[in-house]
Amino acid sequence: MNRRNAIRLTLIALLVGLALSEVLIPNAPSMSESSPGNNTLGMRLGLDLSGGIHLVYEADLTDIGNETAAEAMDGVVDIISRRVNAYGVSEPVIQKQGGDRISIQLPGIKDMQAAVDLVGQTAELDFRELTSESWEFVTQFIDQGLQLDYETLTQEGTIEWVPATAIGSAGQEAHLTGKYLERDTYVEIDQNTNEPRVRFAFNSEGAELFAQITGRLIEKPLGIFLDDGYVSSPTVKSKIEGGTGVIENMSLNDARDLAILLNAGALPVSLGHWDRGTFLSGPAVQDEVDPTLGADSLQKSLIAGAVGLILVLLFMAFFYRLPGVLAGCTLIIYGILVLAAFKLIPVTLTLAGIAAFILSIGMAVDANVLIFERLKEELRAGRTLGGAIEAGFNRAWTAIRDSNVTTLIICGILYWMGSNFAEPRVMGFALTLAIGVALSMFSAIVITRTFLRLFVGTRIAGHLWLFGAQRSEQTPGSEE
Amino acid sequence: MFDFVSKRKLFFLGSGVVIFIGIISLIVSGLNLGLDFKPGVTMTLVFSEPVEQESLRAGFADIGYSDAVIQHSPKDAFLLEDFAPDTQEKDQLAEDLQAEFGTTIRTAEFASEGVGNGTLALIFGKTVSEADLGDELDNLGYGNVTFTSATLDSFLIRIGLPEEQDSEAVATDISEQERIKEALKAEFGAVDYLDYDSISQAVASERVRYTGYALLVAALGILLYIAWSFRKLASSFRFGVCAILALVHDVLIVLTIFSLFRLEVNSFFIIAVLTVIGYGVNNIIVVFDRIRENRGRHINASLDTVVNISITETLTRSLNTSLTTLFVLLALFLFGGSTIHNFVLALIVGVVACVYSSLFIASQLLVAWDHGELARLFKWIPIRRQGS
Repeated sequence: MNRRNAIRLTLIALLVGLALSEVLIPNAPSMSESSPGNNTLGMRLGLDLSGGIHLVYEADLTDIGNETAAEAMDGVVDIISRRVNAYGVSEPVIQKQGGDRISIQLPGIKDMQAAVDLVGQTAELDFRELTSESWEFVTQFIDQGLQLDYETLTQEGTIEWVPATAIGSAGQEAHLTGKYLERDTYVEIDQNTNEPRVRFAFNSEGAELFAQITGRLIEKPLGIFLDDGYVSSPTVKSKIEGGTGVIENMSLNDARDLAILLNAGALPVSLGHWDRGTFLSGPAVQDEVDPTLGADSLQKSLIAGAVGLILVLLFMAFFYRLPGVLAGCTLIIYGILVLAAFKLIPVTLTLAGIAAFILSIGMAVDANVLIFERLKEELRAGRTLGGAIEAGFNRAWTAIRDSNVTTLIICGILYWMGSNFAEPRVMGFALTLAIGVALSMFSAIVITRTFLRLFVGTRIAGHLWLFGAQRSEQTPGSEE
Repeated sequence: MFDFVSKRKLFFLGSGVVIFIGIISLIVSGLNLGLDFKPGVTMTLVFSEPVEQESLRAGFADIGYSDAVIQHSPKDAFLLEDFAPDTQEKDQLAEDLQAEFGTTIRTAEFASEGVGNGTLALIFGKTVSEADLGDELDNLGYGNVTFTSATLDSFLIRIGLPEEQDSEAVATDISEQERIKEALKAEFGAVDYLDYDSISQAVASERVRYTGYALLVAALGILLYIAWSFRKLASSFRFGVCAILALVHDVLIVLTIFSLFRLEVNSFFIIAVLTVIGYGVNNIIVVFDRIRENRGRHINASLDTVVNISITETLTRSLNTSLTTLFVLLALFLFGGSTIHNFVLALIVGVVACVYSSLFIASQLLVAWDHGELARLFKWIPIRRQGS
């Protein structure tokens, strides 16, 4: 074993060790923070493979005409899809049920309350100012230099807020609300206090209103309310022309959730349930359900898949002898690497993803088969093992490169088009396949080759039948 | 060496016949669109006896809903025994309890064989203790009713409708509800609905269309890449075109089988088609790569000879890789769960089509093009059309 190969082998062992720990440790690092893993290994599974929460909400359509009701329900489906996607739950199933209900299935969420909060909130942000009486009341305390707790005062009803309005572009008075927000609200950390806050930006209309209102309220509090609940009331220091602002006074998790809600937009109607003619908050139905493909059915499929993979390994060992066994080892390592990548990125695993995974295993096997067929040819042509390995790899490389690059092109286009038209299942397929193909190239070219080189110059190299080329006619240099 | 190339017209004819039948079938009867693409009905059923998910699936297939999506969702319930109030009394009781415990309550009735008596199941939206319920029933004047707590097998079920039916109408159609209930009762024992409602389709059809557009763009990408990668050969863009034609062939074969045998097409079918395309590209390129290599090695040989040598050389590899893939797929098909049956079937048909087309269609098209046969074929079609 030469030194370079020893170094390669050590690096591969290190990589496999890292990948294995990523797979086996449930809370291993992941590149996305808000992505709850939902099975024992901490992988994220889609609704077809993992159970989840089933919610049914009724919409309050009392103030809405019949024609706009259908439109409003479509809007609800759209906004909830956006919220759920932003929250990091992939492939939810959101459907209209009857005329005024909406059925939502969220895979992998264990926390019913989190699901209910995410879906059920109307998320209407609005800006308010104190009534003149309340302002006068408050001023006495401010003049004494006291810090006021606006939140408690508001809840106690000691002070009152009225909508903050300004003159809009159409010339009439408009209330500044979340509907003027651009969809690029995000969470940032205040450099001075180290506290999280939500930064929002208005569109041009909203920025104009915001500038007028802040210009009027200098040294006064601007109340920020979400669904009629007090959130915060910063004191305006100067007129804000840029059209952006921040919402403070909340935990990091609350800030992140608020950003998701504001980016998705407010629901056109309230969701809740009817109880004897009264509209209440909370879902009409909240159940835990098993995967759409059925837990029983999946169990059987999992076993069947394992049987199939073992058959593949046996076939490889039988047909390609020693290289086949090595390729089997490579495939197992390949499996570990792919799972680690899925968890690290993280990828939501669904049936589509598994199809892509099987396809990429097929391509990984294929890459190995291509190399071994070439290896056999080279050995039969009378090369030494070392020479045959290098020649075999070099000649198999163009086919492996072209087929994998073409597949990557398909993946790229599907992912890009998928993201434009929001088809999560196609995107998931493309992403999973791309990861699988990239790693399969790596495993065939780097890992299999390193393993094979181990045998160069050893006594095993003399036994050509181990490489499936025992009937070699010693005709060096023969081309035909 | 077997002469594949001279048999090419036979291969074209074979595929042509299958695809022709397929296109006729697609035009006449189309595809059997599954639940994901059409509106349907959602229902929650609760059973008094334990029920296996797989047998319930079979039960639904027996009453005409083979595409039902069935999700197990067991529920904790209180069973009020020998208690069969009329609807008004039952609703009143549920309302009173709902108000007292501040949660939603769903009820199910299991009629027993005896006259008038049955079991009322109460399913609370939150955890309620047996003692609290006992006290409350006492207060409401039902102190003599005995009850037990149990976990009942319950299922969330979606079924698709035949296309001509309106889901609103079906949701309000009591006779269909009764028919399903009676059929299930005969097989699984007492059962009741917790809800029964129309539901919109799960996958919007425009998304399928966009996936189709994405594939068109991808085809262009494949064409350009192959043309670039084979640029050292004369008329390299032909390789790209033939690859695309072979892929279209593979997809058409899958569509043919699914249309002809009325197999159900759901959203997973799209994924199966994408997988087949990925698999097909891989196979085609391996053969093309050999042609590229052998072209340089046998400079004086005709394209026919080069293609034939290349097919022969890649035959073992093609069979081996497709066999390994088929091992996994066949294992999944034979021993896997029924819910992924059609999905795996589409993959099996696709893989077989891919191997066939990579050997007998893609590279043979190159040869046919070289001989000017393709041009003749295209001339031939309009003449025949005019004649008929």
